Amino acid sequence: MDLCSTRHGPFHVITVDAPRIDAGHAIAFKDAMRSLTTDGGDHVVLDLGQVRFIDSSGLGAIVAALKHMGPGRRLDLACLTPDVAKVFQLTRMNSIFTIHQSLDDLAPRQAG
Amino acid sequence: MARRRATEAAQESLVAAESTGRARLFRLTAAPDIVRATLDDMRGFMSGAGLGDDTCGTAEIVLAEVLNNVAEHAYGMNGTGRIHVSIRLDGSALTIHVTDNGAAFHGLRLPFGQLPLLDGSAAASARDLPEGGFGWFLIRSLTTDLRYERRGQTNHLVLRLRTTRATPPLPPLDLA
Repeated sequence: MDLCSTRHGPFHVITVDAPRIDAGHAIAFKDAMRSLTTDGGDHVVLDLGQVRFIDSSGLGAIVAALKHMGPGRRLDLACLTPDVAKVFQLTRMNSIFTIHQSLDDLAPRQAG
Repeated sequence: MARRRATEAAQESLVAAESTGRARLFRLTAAPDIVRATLDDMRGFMSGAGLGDDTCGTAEIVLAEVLNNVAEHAYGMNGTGRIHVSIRLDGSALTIHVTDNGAAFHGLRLPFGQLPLLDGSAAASARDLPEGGFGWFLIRSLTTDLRYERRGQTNHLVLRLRTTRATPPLPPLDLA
Protein backbone atom coordinates (compact mmCIF):
# COMPACT_ATOMS: atom_id res chain seq x y z
CA MET A 1 0.00 0.00 0.00
CA ASP A 2 1.64 3.16 -1.24
CA LEU A 3 1.41 6.03 1.21
CA CYS A 4 3.29 9.26 0.61
CA SER A 5 3.98 11.54 3.53
CA THR A 6 4.52 15.30 3.24
CA ARG A 7 4.25 18.42 5.35
CA HIS A 8 1.75 21.10 4.45
CA GLY A 9 2.39 23.91 6.90
CA PRO A 10 1.51 22.58 10.34
CA PHE A 11 -0.21 19.55 8.87
CA HIS A 12 1.19 16.13 8.16
CA VAL A 13 -0.46 15.07 4.90
CA ILE A 14 -0.50 11.38 4.03
CA THR A 15 -1.53 10.73 0.42
CA VAL A 16 -2.78 7.27 -0.50
CA ASP A 17 -1.36 6.40 -3.93
CA ALA A 18 -3.72 3.51 -4.59
CA PRO A 19 -7.13 3.36 -6.28
CA ARG A 20 -8.75 1.11 -3.66
CA ILE A 21 -8.60 0.47 0.07
CA ASP A 22 -10.43 -2.84 0.34
CA ALA A 23 -10.49 -6.19 2.13
CA GLY A 24 -7.27 -7.30 0.44
CA HIS A 25 -5.41 -4.13 1.43
CA ALA A 26 -6.84 -3.33 4.85
CA ILE A 27 -4.08 -4.85 6.96
CA ALA A 28 -1.29 -3.38 4.81
CA PHE A 29 -2.96 0.02 5.02
CA LYS A 30 -3.29 -0.16 8.81
CA ASP A 31 0.36 -1.19 9.18
CA ALA A 32 1.58 1.54 6.86
CA MET A 33 -0.48 4.19 8.65
CA ARG A 34 0.78 2.99 12.00
CA SER A 35 4.39 3.36 10.82
CA LEU A 36 3.83 6.81 9.41
CA THR A 37 1.91 8.24 12.34
CA THR A 38 3.66 6.70 15.32
CA ASP A 39 6.07 9.61 15.56
CA GLY A 40 4.86 12.74 13.99
CA GLY A 41 2.48 15.56 13.93
CA ASP A 42 -0.59 15.93 16.07
CA HIS A 43 -2.67 16.89 13.05
CA VAL A 44 -2.60 14.38 10.22
CA VAL A 45 -4.65 14.75 7.06
CA LEU A 46 -5.32 11.62 5.01
CA ASP A 47 -5.53 12.61 1.34
CA LEU A 48 -7.82 10.13 -0.40
CA GLY A 49 -7.91 11.94 -3.74
CA GLN A 50 -6.50 8.95 -5.64
CA VAL A 51 -8.82 6.46 -3.97
CA ARG A 52 -11.96 5.82 -5.96
CA PHE A 53 -13.30 2.94 -3.89
CA ILE A 54 -13.34 1.69 -0.32
CA ASP A 55 -15.35 -1.16 1.14
CA SER A 56 -16.32 -1.79 4.77
CA SER A 57 -12.85 -3.23 5.46
CA GLY A 58 -11.23 -0.09 4.11
CA LEU A 59 -13.54 2.02 6.25
CA GLY A 60 -12.61 -0.05 9.30
CA ALA A 61 -8.91 0.36 8.53
CA ILE A 62 -9.26 4.15 8.36
CA VAL A 63 -11.09 4.15 11.70
CA ALA A 64 -8.33 1.94 13.12
CA ALA A 65 -5.77 4.50 11.96
CA LEU A 66 -7.72 7.18 13.81
CA LYS A 67 -7.81 5.09 16.96
CA HIS A 68 -4.06 4.50 16.74
CA MET A 69 -3.45 8.25 16.75
CA GLY A 70 -4.65 8.41 20.32
CA PRO A 71 -6.08 11.28 22.36
CA GLY A 72 -5.03 14.83 21.55
CA ARG A 73 -4.12 14.02 17.95
CA ARG A 74 -6.32 14.52 14.90
CA LEU A 75 -6.80 12.52 11.74
CA ASP A 76 -8.74 14.48 9.13
CA LEU A 77 -9.76 13.29 5.66
CA ALA A 78 -9.44 15.17 2.39
CA CYS A 79 -10.45 14.92 -1.26
CA LEU A 80 -13.05 12.17 -0.95
CA THR A 81 -14.18 10.87 -4.32
CA PRO A 82 -17.94 10.22 -4.77
CA ASP A 83 -18.09 6.49 -4.02
CA VAL A 84 -15.79 6.89 -1.02
CA ALA A 85 -17.89 9.77 0.34
CA LYS A 86 -20.96 7.59 -0.16
CA VAL A 87 -19.61 4.87 2.16
CA PHE A 88 -18.78 7.40 4.89
CA GLN A 89 -22.20 9.06 4.61
CA LEU A 90 -24.22 5.84 4.55
CA THR A 91 -22.50 4.52 7.68
CA ARG A 92 -22.62 7.96 9.38
CA MET A 93 -18.84 7.69 9.88
CA ASN A 94 -18.44 11.05 8.18
CA SER A 95 -19.45 12.58 11.50
CA ILE A 96 -16.34 11.14 13.15
CA PHE A 97 -13.87 12.96 10.90
CA THR A 98 -13.25 16.52 9.78
CA ILE A 99 -13.46 16.27 5.99
CA HIS A 100 -11.73 18.76 3.69
CA GLN A 101 -12.84 19.25 0.12
CA SER A 102 -9.27 19.82 -1.05
CA LEU A 103 -5.76 20.23 0.30
CA ASP A 104 -5.96 23.92 -0.62
CA ASP A 105 -8.40 24.28 2.26
CA LEU A 106 -5.53 23.50 4.59
CA ALA A 107 -3.47 26.54 3.62
CA PRO A 108 -2.68 28.47 6.79
CA ARG A 109 -4.15 31.96 6.81
CA GLN A 110 -1.62 34.53 5.67
CA ALA A 111 -1.00 37.55 7.83
CA GLY A 112 -2.88 40.48 6.25
CA MET B 1 -38.47 -32.21 -11.56
CA ALA B 2 -40.30 -28.86 -11.38
CA ARG B 3 -37.21 -27.31 -9.76
CA ARG B 4 -34.95 -28.54 -12.57
CA ARG B 5 -37.31 -27.07 -15.17
CA ALA B 6 -37.38 -23.77 -13.27
CA THR B 7 -33.57 -23.71 -13.15
CA GLU B 8 -33.31 -24.53 -16.87
CA ALA B 9 -35.82 -21.84 -17.71
CA ALA B 10 -33.86 -19.34 -15.64
CA GLN B 11 -30.65 -20.31 -17.41
CA GLU B 12 -32.22 -20.01 -20.87
CA SER B 13 -33.58 -16.63 -19.91
CA LEU B 14 -30.13 -15.54 -18.73
CA VAL B 15 -28.50 -16.69 -21.98
CA ALA B 16 -31.13 -14.81 -23.96
CA ALA B 17 -30.59 -11.67 -21.87
CA GLU B 18 -26.80 -11.99 -22.27
CA SER B 19 -27.14 -11.89 -26.03
CA THR B 20 -28.84 -8.51 -25.82
CA GLY B 21 -26.16 -7.12 -23.48
CA ARG B 22 -28.60 -6.90 -20.63
CA ALA B 23 -27.05 -9.62 -18.48
CA ARG B 24 -23.75 -11.27 -17.81
CA LEU B 25 -22.54 -14.21 -15.80
CA PHE B 26 -19.26 -13.83 -13.94
CA ARG B 27 -17.39 -16.86 -12.62
CA LEU B 28 -14.55 -16.25 -10.19
CA THR B 29 -12.37 -17.77 -7.54
CA ALA B 30 -12.81 -16.24 -4.10
CA ALA B 31 -9.35 -14.70 -3.71
CA PRO B 32 -8.83 -10.94 -3.05
CA ASP B 33 -6.99 -10.11 -6.29
CA ILE B 34 -9.54 -11.98 -8.37
CA VAL B 35 -12.48 -10.40 -6.55
CA ARG B 36 -10.95 -6.98 -7.17
CA ALA B 37 -10.42 -7.64 -10.89
CA THR B 38 -13.93 -9.06 -11.23
CA LEU B 39 -15.44 -5.98 -9.57
CA ASP B 40 -13.69 -3.87 -12.22
CA ASP B 41 -15.15 -6.10 -14.94
CA MET B 42 -18.60 -5.89 -13.39
CA ARG B 43 -18.38 -2.13 -13.20
CA GLY B 44 -17.32 -2.02 -16.84
CA PHE B 45 -20.29 -4.18 -17.80
CA MET B 46 -22.80 -2.03 -15.92
CA SER B 47 -21.35 1.21 -17.19
CA GLY B 48 -21.24 -0.18 -20.72
CA ALA B 49 -24.90 -1.13 -20.38
CA GLY B 50 -25.69 2.53 -19.79
CA LEU B 51 -25.94 2.78 -16.01
CA GLY B 52 -24.78 6.07 -14.49
CA ASP B 53 -21.87 6.52 -12.10
CA ASP B 54 -24.06 6.75 -9.01
CA THR B 55 -25.80 3.44 -9.75
CA CYS B 56 -22.56 1.73 -10.75
CA GLY B 57 -20.86 2.97 -7.57
CA THR B 58 -23.70 1.76 -5.38
CA ALA B 59 -23.79 -1.60 -7.13
CA GLU B 60 -20.02 -1.97 -6.78
CA ILE B 61 -20.25 -1.36 -3.02
CA VAL B 62 -22.93 -4.04 -2.68
CA LEU B 63 -21.06 -6.52 -4.89
CA ALA B 64 -17.78 -5.93 -3.02
CA GLU B 65 -19.41 -6.55 0.35
CA VAL B 66 -21.19 -9.70 -0.85
CA LEU B 67 -18.14 -11.18 -2.56
CA ASN B 68 -15.90 -10.40 0.41
CA ASN B 69 -18.48 -12.02 2.67
CA VAL B 70 -18.53 -15.18 0.55
CA ALA B 71 -14.71 -15.33 0.42
CA GLU B 72 -14.31 -14.79 4.14
CA HIS B 73 -17.23 -16.62 5.68
CA ALA B 74 -18.57 -19.10 3.13
CA TYR B 75 -15.08 -20.19 2.09
CA GLY B 76 -13.12 -19.23 5.22
CA MET B 77 -10.52 -17.34 3.16
CA ASN B 78 -9.30 -20.58 1.58
CA GLY B 79 -8.67 -18.65 -1.64
CA THR B 80 -9.97 -21.42 -3.88
CA GLY B 81 -13.77 -21.40 -3.60
CA ARG B 82 -15.78 -20.71 -6.74
CA ILE B 83 -18.44 -18.02 -6.96
CA HIS B 84 -20.93 -17.41 -9.77
CA VAL B 85 -22.55 -14.00 -10.10
CA SER B 86 -25.19 -13.13 -12.65
CA ILE B 87 -26.04 -9.47 -13.12
CA ARG B 88 -29.16 -8.66 -15.09
CA LEU B 89 -30.69 -5.31 -16.04
CA ASP B 90 -34.47 -5.33 -16.08
CA GLY B 91 -36.27 -2.07 -16.65
CA SER B 92 -35.49 0.01 -13.60
CA ALA B 93 -33.64 -2.60 -11.55
CA LEU B 94 -30.48 -4.65 -11.38
CA THR B 95 -30.95 -8.23 -10.28
CA ILE B 96 -27.85 -9.93 -8.90
CA HIS B 97 -27.74 -13.65 -8.19
CA VAL B 98 -24.71 -14.96 -6.28
CA THR B 99 -24.07 -18.66 -5.80
CA ASP B 100 -21.30 -20.43 -3.92
CA ASN B 101 -20.64 -23.89 -2.50
CA GLY B 102 -19.30 -22.73 0.83
CA ALA B 103 -20.67 -22.84 4.34
CA ALA B 104 -24.28 -21.87 4.88
CA PHE B 105 -25.28 -18.75 6.78
CA HIS B 106 -25.62 -19.40 10.47
CA GLY B 107 -29.17 -20.46 11.13
CA LEU B 108 -29.78 -20.21 7.36
CA ARG B 109 -30.50 -16.51 7.92
CA LEU B 110 -28.79 -13.39 6.67
CA PRO B 111 -27.16 -11.09 9.23
CA PHE B 112 -29.40 -8.27 10.38
CA GLY B 113 -26.87 -5.61 9.52
CA GLN B 114 -27.40 -3.32 12.47
CA LEU B 115 -25.29 -0.20 12.02
CA PRO B 116 -22.75 -0.05 14.86
CA LEU B 117 -24.23 2.86 16.81
CA LEU B 118 -22.15 5.89 17.49
CA ASP B 119 -22.61 7.66 20.77
CA GLY B 120 -23.05 10.89 18.87
CA SER B 121 -21.30 12.97 21.48
CA ALA B 122 -17.99 14.57 20.69
CA ALA B 123 -16.71 13.31 24.01
CA ALA B 124 -17.15 9.66 23.04
CA SER B 125 -13.84 7.91 23.37
CA ALA B 126 -12.10 7.13 20.10
CA ARG B 127 -11.34 3.72 21.55
CA ASP B 128 -15.05 2.91 21.31
CA LEU B 129 -15.34 3.59 17.59
CA PRO B 130 -16.45 0.57 15.60
CA GLU B 131 -14.02 -0.86 13.04
CA GLY B 132 -16.35 -3.49 11.69
CA GLY B 133 -19.95 -4.55 11.27
CA PHE B 134 -20.66 -2.17 8.42
CA GLY B 135 -20.84 -4.71 5.59
CA TRP B 136 -24.37 -6.08 6.00
CA PHE B 137 -25.67 -2.64 6.90
CA LEU B 138 -24.37 -1.37 3.55
CA ILE B 139 -25.85 -4.34 1.68
CA ARG B 140 -29.27 -3.97 3.31
CA SER B 141 -29.46 -0.21 2.98
CA LEU B 142 -28.57 -0.26 -0.72
CA THR B 143 -30.79 -3.15 -1.89
CA THR B 144 -34.55 -3.25 -2.27
CA ASP B 145 -34.84 -7.04 -2.16
CA LEU B 146 -32.55 -9.52 -0.51
CA ARG B 147 -33.25 -13.25 -0.41
CA TYR B 148 -31.17 -16.20 0.71
CA GLU B 149 -31.78 -19.85 0.00
CA ARG B 150 -29.67 -22.92 0.63
CA ARG B 151 -30.23 -25.62 -2.02
CA GLY B 152 -28.24 -28.77 -1.38
CA GLN B 153 -24.62 -27.68 -0.96
CA THR B 154 -25.12 -24.31 -2.64
CA ASN B 155 -25.87 -20.87 -1.25
CA HIS B 156 -28.11 -18.68 -3.40
CA LEU B 157 -28.29 -14.98 -2.67
CA VAL B 158 -30.53 -12.79 -4.81
CA LEU B 159 -30.49 -9.02 -4.51
CA ARG B 160 -32.14 -6.18 -6.39
CA LEU B 161 -31.06 -2.57 -6.70
CA ARG B 162 -32.92 0.25 -8.35
CA THR B 163 -31.17 1.74 -11.33
CA THR B 164 -32.78 5.12 -10.96
CA ARG B 165 -31.67 6.94 -7.83
CA ALA B 166 -29.94 3.80 -6.64
CA THR B 167 -28.52 5.49 -3.59
CA PRO B 168 -30.92 6.42 -0.80
CA PRO B 169 -30.85 10.06 0.40
CA LEU B 170 -27.56 10.59 2.17
CA PRO B 171 -26.90 12.70 5.25
CA PRO B 172 -24.76 15.71 4.31
CA LEU B 173 -21.01 15.28 4.11
CA ASP B 174 -20.39 18.42 6.24
CA LEU B 175 -17.19 19.70 4.73
CA ALA B 176 -14.77 21.62 6.89
